[in-house]
Amino acid sequence: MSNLEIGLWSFPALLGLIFLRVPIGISMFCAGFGGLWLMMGNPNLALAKLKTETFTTFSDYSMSIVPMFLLMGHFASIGGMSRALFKAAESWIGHRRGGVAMAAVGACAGFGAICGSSLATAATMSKVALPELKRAGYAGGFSTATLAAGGTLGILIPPSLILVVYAILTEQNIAKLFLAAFIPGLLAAVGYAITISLYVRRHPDQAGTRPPVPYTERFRELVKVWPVLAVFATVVGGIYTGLFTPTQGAAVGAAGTGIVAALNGTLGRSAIVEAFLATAKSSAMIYLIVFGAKYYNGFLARSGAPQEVSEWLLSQGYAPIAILIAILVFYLIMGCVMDSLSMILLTVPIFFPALRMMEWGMTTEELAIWFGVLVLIVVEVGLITPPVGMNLFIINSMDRETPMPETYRAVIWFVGSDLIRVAILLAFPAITLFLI
Amino acid sequence: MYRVLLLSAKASAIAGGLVLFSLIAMVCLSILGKTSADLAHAMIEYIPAASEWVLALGVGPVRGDFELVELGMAVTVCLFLPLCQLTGGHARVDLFTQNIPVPILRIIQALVEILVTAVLVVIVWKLLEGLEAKHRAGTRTTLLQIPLWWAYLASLLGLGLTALGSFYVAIIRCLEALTGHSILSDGEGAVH
Repeated sequence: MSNLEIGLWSFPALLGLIFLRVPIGISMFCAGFGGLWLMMGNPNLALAKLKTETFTTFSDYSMSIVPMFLLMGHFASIGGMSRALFKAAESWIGHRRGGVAMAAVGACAGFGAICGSSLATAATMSKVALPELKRAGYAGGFSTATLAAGGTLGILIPPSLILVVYAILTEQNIAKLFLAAFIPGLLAAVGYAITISLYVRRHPDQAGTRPPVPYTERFRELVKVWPVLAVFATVVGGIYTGLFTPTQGAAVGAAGTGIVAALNGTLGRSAIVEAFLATAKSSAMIYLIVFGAKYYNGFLARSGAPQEVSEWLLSQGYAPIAILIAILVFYLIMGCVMDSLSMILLTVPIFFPALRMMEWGMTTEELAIWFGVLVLIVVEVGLITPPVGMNLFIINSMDRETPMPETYRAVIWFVGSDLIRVAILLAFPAITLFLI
Repeated sequence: MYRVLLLSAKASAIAGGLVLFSLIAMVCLSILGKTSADLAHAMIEYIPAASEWVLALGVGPVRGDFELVELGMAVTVCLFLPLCQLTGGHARVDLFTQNIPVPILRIIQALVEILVTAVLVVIVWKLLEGLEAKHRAGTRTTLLQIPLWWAYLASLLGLGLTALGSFYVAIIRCLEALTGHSILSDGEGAVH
């Protein structure tokens, strides 16, 4: 077999391993290792690479944002920030029809501004908002679907772990990507609120109402949100103005949320241990995927397959926008069965160089940012699409009374809102790019 | 046995958390130092006494803070790995194995765990060789002159425990495949 053939055959081999429940990171490593072995005729190079590659991957400076942001999210949750956000939003709009669900989405958006992970946002906000939604007379499936969709705001609104990884992959500026993701993130929140209002109009029986709360109480609840604003302003402001590197910003944020939790008196020893264990599991999972992907991509680049695929795509003579749409559809489909981070790590090194060679009427940097935000959204749709949307599972495990099919029926509405947003951002790149 | 391993994995994760926490504190201190030094330099014309006093304290960014983050983070991640491995927290795709009959699934699981263990053992083995190479060459970090093999050694501890845990799980899965009884429940997956 030629190098190119080995590179191309490694795809089905990799998918085979993944579908046999081999951890995705290990699957990618195995595909890369086997491929290099075949290509060289012996395992020497594949083994020699490992002497330093494990350590250099784990010690990457930019990647160190990941555990810090994860810890920050856990501290924020321990410190009661998720509750404060929900209470504040709920006191202002809870009396409207569908208002409690909208408040949950708003609180998710707020929490997303200090948390870089969807599943963590979904889990945290569910703990706070699910009982309240039930009490306010919201149907089970509608509540879980709202929170699953709201959870994706954790990653759509910066800081966002996926964008960090994307920035490293495509060698883009993390601060600029965060900035670009901001408006699309807000659009997502607005889109979900509109979806909720349409949904309750269609199914008025699925949402209860309650009398409005007096304004004094509303303002009292609003004031309690200040730590979230302070942390967000410091971290994101510091990164944008160049005062900190993104890693330093993440460290400041983790320290800040830790201090808030400590001041609230909720940061006991068991809470810290809980936060450490949860951070450990998630970080280890992400790093294993990154390690496997880096190893596999190293092999793939050597095989020449990515260039070949790019050139083949170009030689087909399709319009760039058609190819872009095809790529996004591919992500939407794959997102139904695969982890979003693995998908980005595997495919961006192949797709992005191909897109870069096409004529877009924008600079490479703009293209990278625009594509990054689009990809971010479509892979996140995968988190809430049946059958294996991770957010749906997380929330379903917290609400055993609601059967999964009920969640499915309601979540389709939010998926629809996501698809409309993708179409809008695709048609008007300026929405993503004008802040940069 | 599983208890002992889980306890060590948790201890390792907490140790990793403490390293992470120290890194965060160090980075914050570094920013604080740099900001106050910058501020003192900027203010030297207006309030010379206070600025000189601040500068005389030797404030400034922590020397080699980037290096410390890099080394510390590698150690942290390696200490985090055992818990994720042992509790089945790594990302997997379940969709295509859902309808496979249980006895066959058990055999697949056993083979998968053997593969994972083999990979981890190779990684540990090669990291050990990398450690020897760094030790022999006497490689040190640029600013702080920390011997790189120290960090390799600390990472090796975490990865070694990960491989050990994986080896144990592989044996359990093989036993399950042979006896047809479920011994160890599968992980619930990590949140990220």
